[in-house]
Amino acid sequence: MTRRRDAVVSHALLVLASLVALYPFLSILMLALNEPGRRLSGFALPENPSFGNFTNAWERGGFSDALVSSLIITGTVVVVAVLLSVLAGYALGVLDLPLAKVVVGVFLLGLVMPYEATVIPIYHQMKEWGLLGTYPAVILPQIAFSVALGTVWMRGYFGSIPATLREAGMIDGAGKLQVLRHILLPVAAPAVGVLATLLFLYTWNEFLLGLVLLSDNPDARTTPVALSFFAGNRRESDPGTTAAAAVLVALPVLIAYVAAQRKFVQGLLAGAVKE
Amino acid sequence: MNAPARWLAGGGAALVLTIAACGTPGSSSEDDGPARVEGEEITAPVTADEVAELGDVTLRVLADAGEESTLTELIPEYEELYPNVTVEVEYRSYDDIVRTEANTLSGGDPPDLAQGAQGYALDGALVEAGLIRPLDDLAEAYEWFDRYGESTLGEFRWSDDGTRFGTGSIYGISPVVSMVGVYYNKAKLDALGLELPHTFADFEAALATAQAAGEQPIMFGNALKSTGLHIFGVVQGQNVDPAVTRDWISGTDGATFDTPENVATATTIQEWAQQGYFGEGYNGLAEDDAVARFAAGEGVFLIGGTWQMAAIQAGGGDFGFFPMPPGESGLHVASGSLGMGWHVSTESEVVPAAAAFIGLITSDEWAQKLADLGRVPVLAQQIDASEPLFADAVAGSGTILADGGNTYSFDWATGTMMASMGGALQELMDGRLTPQEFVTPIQDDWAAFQAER
Amino acid sequence: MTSTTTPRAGRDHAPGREVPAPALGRRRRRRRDWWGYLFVLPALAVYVAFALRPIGETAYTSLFEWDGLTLATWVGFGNYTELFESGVLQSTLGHSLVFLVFYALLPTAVGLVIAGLMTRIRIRGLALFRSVLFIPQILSSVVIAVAWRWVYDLGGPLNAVLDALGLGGVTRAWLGDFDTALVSVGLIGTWVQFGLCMMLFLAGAQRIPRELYESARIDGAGAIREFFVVTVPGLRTELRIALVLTTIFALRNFDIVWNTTAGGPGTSTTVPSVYVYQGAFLTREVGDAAAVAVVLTLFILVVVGAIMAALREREAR
Repeated sequence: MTRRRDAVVSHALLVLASLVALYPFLSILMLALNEPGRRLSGFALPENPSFGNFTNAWERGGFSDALVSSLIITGTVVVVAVLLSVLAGYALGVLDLPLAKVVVGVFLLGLVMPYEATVIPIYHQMKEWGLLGTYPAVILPQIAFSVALGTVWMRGYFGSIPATLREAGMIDGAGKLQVLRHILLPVAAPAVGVLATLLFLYTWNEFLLGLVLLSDNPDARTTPVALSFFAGNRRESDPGTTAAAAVLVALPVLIAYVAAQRKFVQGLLAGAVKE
Repeated sequence: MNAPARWLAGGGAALVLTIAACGTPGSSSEDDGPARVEGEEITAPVTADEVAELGDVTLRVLADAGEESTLTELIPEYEELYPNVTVEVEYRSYDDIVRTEANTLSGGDPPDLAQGAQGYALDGALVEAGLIRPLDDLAEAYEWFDRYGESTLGEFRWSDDGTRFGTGSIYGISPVVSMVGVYYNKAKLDALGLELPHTFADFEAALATAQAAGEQPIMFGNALKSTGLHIFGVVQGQNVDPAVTRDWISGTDGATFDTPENVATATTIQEWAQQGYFGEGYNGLAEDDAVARFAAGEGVFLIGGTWQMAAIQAGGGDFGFFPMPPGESGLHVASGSLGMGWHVSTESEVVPAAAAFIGLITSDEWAQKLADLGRVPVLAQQIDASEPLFADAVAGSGTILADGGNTYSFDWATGTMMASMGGALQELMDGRLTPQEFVTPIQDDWAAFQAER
Repeated sequence: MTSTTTPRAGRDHAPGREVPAPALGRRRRRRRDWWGYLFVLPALAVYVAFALRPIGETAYTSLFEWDGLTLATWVGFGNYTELFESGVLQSTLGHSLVFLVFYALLPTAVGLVIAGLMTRIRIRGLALFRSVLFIPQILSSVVIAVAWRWVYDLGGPLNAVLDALGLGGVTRAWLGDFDTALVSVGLIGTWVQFGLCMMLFLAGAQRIPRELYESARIDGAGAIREFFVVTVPGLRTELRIALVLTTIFALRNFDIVWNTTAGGPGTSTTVPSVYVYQGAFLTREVGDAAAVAVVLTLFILVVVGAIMAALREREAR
């Protein structure tokens, strides 16, 4: 029965791959659950599980401030970027704009651009404006990169809606905004949801901009930046506490992931529309 | 959508358009210039009344994280003496200060007082960009030269354009000494039957003995690359006149790193590494972590700075400290200097309050308090040092200073020396560079920097 | 995958959009709608101000010697020639190429092979596996770095396994060793990407018509030939997507390197993005950093362009 053997081998491979995918996170979870101060090595399985490392990390790392910062920054970026992307995507995908292809091409460029190419002038610009260490310093450039993905995304989606539906409203003489709000948006809601999830993930996890623009102000650091500072970029003298901090930082995203898995998975797979 | 050429072309055109609008980088900051507050000359120690004239003000301070225990004591005292001033402090690690302080001071709302780092990597840039104020008037008013010694303060002197180190106005001051020496684990030394080494040869023999007994001779963590520089400094002292090293770090014309003595130093360090004196995996271990391990009883010796004393005492074990014993010259030599200098921002509007702060921390009364907090004060002769490890550190620092053996710190030499020398040392210790190959690029970095000045 | 295919299918239904050069008469009838740009304007303005313009400024800055504080000095292409002569460009881009193998080629290959093995069977619990395999994608790269720093630690689990296997001789601080740091960081990237690649290919493979496999089998093709004749060509679109995504990730890669090795030991893991950060914000060689940023950007454009050109849709115009 080769079919049966194939099935067993395939599923075994999937289980193995899943273990590999999970192990690094499980290993720091295990590390974090050890008693604080215990000298750890090897697999560091906790003998007397304790949350001491978590309370240590929470108190010393300023993660409550960081969570608030991350929430404000991510929330603003996602809401504004989705709004702007829906408008732009609608116009470029549905309305008959001259030079639309050139404009879309310009947006597409943003999908491959590294932040490294923009961070130097952005830093000096924000310094001139006195915005270093404030939320807008990262919110503005993050929106800029998010609308590139968002516009391309929404344009693709709106373009795929059957023309009859798109034009129905126009014939009734409804304004463009009404057509968008009452006819297209209800249809596009799932695509907007996936986009929002994707942008949430990218914005929440962004590191370089936060490192450069928010380092000066400990109150404004995002969670990845706070974790990087807390862990030092090469420290492990207190692996238990460092691991606990990493778990704490990962937790909000993991919870969101468990709650909205389908959207995440769809988003990640389809984040591919990118090119 | 599938034709990359199309959007590359479109994007490229857009890029070209955006370039047109740029001015020379840095031009705007030159137009505005830092708003220098004139006419705040300090002629005598600042009195509480003079500070009170400022009204209710905030004194903003940027300090090294290692300063926290000191400032936690100092600030309440300061605020009691000058009740109209509220002090706000932000702490950053040494690395972060070197990296970010120039940007912070040139930003819109700089702190009034900031601890810098001597040398070209930070202080030179601060002076060059006009971000910190000369303190010659404070030096006069608070008699720094008489109390600290004229030559001691050379490391805070800069020409006004920030290009020449060691001459010109004074831009900073520190009440403490930072010296690299050797910490040792007393119990282990006893168990190995070793005496305190009195010569460099003794020290090398002790390393071999320790290793033969299965101990790790030197606890070492070099992931951040800076610790290797300290090792180089204390080993170099066997071969090189300290004045030559200071000249090189200060950027004196004609100085060079590419000397037989430095090659010999590199050879010794490479041999130690190949002998396994530093243990294994040190490039994956951060300095603070190595100190924590040493404090917990791993390793016989640790080559470290007086600033690490508190962390080593925290282990609760019995430790001692000595300056690296001398070679043939008989001189005790080590990387060492005063602590990170206190600077006053050119944009500060509360100069009297800042001056009063500096006056307090450099006062004779505070020398003892610094000592009580485990810092080695410059005014060491005035203090009582009874805790044994601390007494070792005071004595050791005194020995080095008496020999004129403090050689500053290699990372002062250029803006990139920490990275280039630290990285090269890692490669040297790993056997990837010969001692000669190690020396050459360091001199190249130095020469390139000097050429630009 | 539904979202990727619908827009593509839908585009064919959209009249007048993809038709090249519409006839003059028609263009007049359907008045082109400049007012519609009001909808695009907010997005375009933010994008130009905070993404495009800064790129232009970076390019401009790269022509100066600048410490970020005082007035800059014009040096033309001096920064570029200096970076080339000192070997910085070659070495950092060389490390990037190694990462390209580990971050892009390896996960793609692993994903492809595993997906190929599974074309013949029905997978139970696909949704669950998919959720688990995506976890590396959703974690913050700093969290990933902290986790792997522990895995690779001198006293960490990897060395414990090696010791247990009697391979104590090869244990080491994997990220602190000149010989292994680059590969170790590379494997972190493989770990981040392999799940995504696998799931992309599995989803794609489910849509390859069964008849293609049946006719291949009738022709007497074994599993391996089947893989190359049916599976791989059928996954052309997914291959391109996977390669483009992972390539961009590999070349932009700053977070993981910075938080595991910070470019060390020596400069053995210094990639362009690390150099940009160090030069621009730590050592105040802003012009050099900008030049490396420009080279990195062009490098990404060229590599991504090449992948897209090589794997373009067969039915493409």
